[in-house]
Amino acid sequence: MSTEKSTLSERITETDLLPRVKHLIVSYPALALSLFFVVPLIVLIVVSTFQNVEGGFFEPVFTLENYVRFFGSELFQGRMIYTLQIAGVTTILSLAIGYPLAYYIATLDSERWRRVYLSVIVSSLFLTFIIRAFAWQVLLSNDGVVPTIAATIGILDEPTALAPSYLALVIGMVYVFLPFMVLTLYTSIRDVDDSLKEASRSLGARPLRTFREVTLPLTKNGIISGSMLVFVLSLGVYVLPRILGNPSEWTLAVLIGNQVGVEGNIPYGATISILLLLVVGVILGTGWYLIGGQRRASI
Amino acid sequence: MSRVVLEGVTKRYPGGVEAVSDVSLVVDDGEFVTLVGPSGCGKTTTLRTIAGFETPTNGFVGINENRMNTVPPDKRDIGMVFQDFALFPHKTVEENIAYGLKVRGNERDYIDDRVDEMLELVELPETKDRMPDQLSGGQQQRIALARAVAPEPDVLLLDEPLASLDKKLRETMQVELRRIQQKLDITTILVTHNQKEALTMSDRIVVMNDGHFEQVGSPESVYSNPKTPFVANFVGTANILTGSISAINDNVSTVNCGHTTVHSADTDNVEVGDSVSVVFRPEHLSFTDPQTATDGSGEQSTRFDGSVSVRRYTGDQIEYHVRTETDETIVTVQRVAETNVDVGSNVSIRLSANDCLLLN
Repeated sequence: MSTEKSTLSERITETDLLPRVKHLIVSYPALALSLFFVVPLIVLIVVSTFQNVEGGFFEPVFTLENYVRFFGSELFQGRMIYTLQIAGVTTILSLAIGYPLAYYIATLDSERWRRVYLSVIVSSLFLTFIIRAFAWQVLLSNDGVVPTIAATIGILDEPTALAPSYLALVIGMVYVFLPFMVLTLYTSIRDVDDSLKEASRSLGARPLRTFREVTLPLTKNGIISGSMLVFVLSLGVYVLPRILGNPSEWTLAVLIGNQVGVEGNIPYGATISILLLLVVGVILGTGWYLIGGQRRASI
Repeated sequence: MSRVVLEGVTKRYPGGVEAVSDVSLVVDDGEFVTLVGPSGCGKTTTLRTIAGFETPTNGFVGINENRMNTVPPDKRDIGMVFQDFALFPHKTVEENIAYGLKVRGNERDYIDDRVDEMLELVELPETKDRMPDQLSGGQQQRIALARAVAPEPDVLLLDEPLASLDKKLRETMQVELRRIQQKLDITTILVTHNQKEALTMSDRIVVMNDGHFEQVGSPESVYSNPKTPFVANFVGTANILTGSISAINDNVSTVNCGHTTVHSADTDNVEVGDSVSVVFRPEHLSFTDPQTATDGSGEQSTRFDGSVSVRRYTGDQIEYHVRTETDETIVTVQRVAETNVDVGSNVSIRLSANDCLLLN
């Protein structure tokens, strides 16, 4: 009886040791994710329900007054809507400028030229947002290149500073996020087989019809991914509105920074962050649903 | 009447590569012509020039006597089947077949009827609502064909349409494709690298090599009367020896091929002293008694003595490679029932002068 038991336990250790090691290895990504994303998120949620104490402190006392404050504040709700709006404008302009650009590059015959164009686009990412924002500030200042040219060709009566302004912020944001849009679309457009376009042409469809019926629907996922990427990145802009915008162009991220850094109200900063995160979550969810829906339809 | 005319068509790419050099061809109404050749011979470029995806550098490309050189593909009234089928992955089978009809602005009712008709033609009515990735390779092939012929194009162009199918399915589709082509009586040009496919499917075949047409003719004439050693070797299997003509008398040419002397009944267009290629097919050789050089009929023939170096059993026949005493390899095929010898056996093979071609 006892010998039987020992063999059984031996067998258990033998067969179970390997799966245990396997589980450990497999669980590494889950651990890393928890440590770097889930835990901080929980901390953020917890802090958002704490009581603020004057002077940059907070008390661990449960309260929902931070949320009540947000939903009672026209200023903060207005900023949320403004942030969504400018992210939307940036996304639409990036798509409008990015698609033709990506299409042009993706359909070049010469692989060398495709690489050159892509390198140029990627190279703009080598500089930080801050430097590029300041560069635009200079270009748009009253003796900068853009107002001077605009005055010369008659768009402006005389060179006036275009920054800080809403226009300056939009220009800066589109400039900064366009590469993400172009790179995402490029991959998607490259994936459309030439023979599909040729099949469409051989069946009597002109180039524009071929684009509408074949290329565009087949790059829908790229359009959705690129737009989601730019939209979510735009929602989080902090540096650009401060350099290229007036206080009236400040986004929610700037306000969060001010709550934490200037007002010293960490729980309220956490509350706004959570609400912004929720909005991002809903947008990503919708995007994934749209892509998934299309994929389901094509199977 | 739907004819395709090529006159002196040349296609040179930027950088100087000449893919097609001065080719001319008339494909008649309802005719099935196959362009066959090794990869890089220019057959696909020729087809794409007819389709309008390439513009010829020189020459005339015409469909129905109209000059088409620079007309874009969507204005040519062609139907095309691609090697990878190129079915629109985001459209159903029905939408795929309807595409060309819709683009041409047909009425909804007509399109519906025509789609059903096409699905009947390719015997796949049950796939109407499926997506292309739910179809097997053979089904995709048929739908691609249905889509191409639905708008009743003047010309059907097939670019290696069977290359991605496995052997069994490919043979079924060869029969099927030919059946549909004849039923629709549509002028068809097929591109393939598979010489067997070219022989079995076409009214005429065009053998291409290095950008030009080596030979144009019916499958029978190209196979039995190849005009160049390249054609002899590419279409079917051929034994090719080189030598010079030492004598011509009594309608028999005697060719001195190094250590071997070959007799041929081919005396046209050759003179004593000419350098020629001697061409004969494996199936025209027979094993013979080593003692006799001629058979009972007194007909001139050539005898090769050697030993079997390779034996390949293919079911209905056996292929032998015979290494001759003069160090040449002769390939022959024999029916299984008739002969059966092992590797290393000494054999004599006989070639009738009538089966031996001489090419300059």
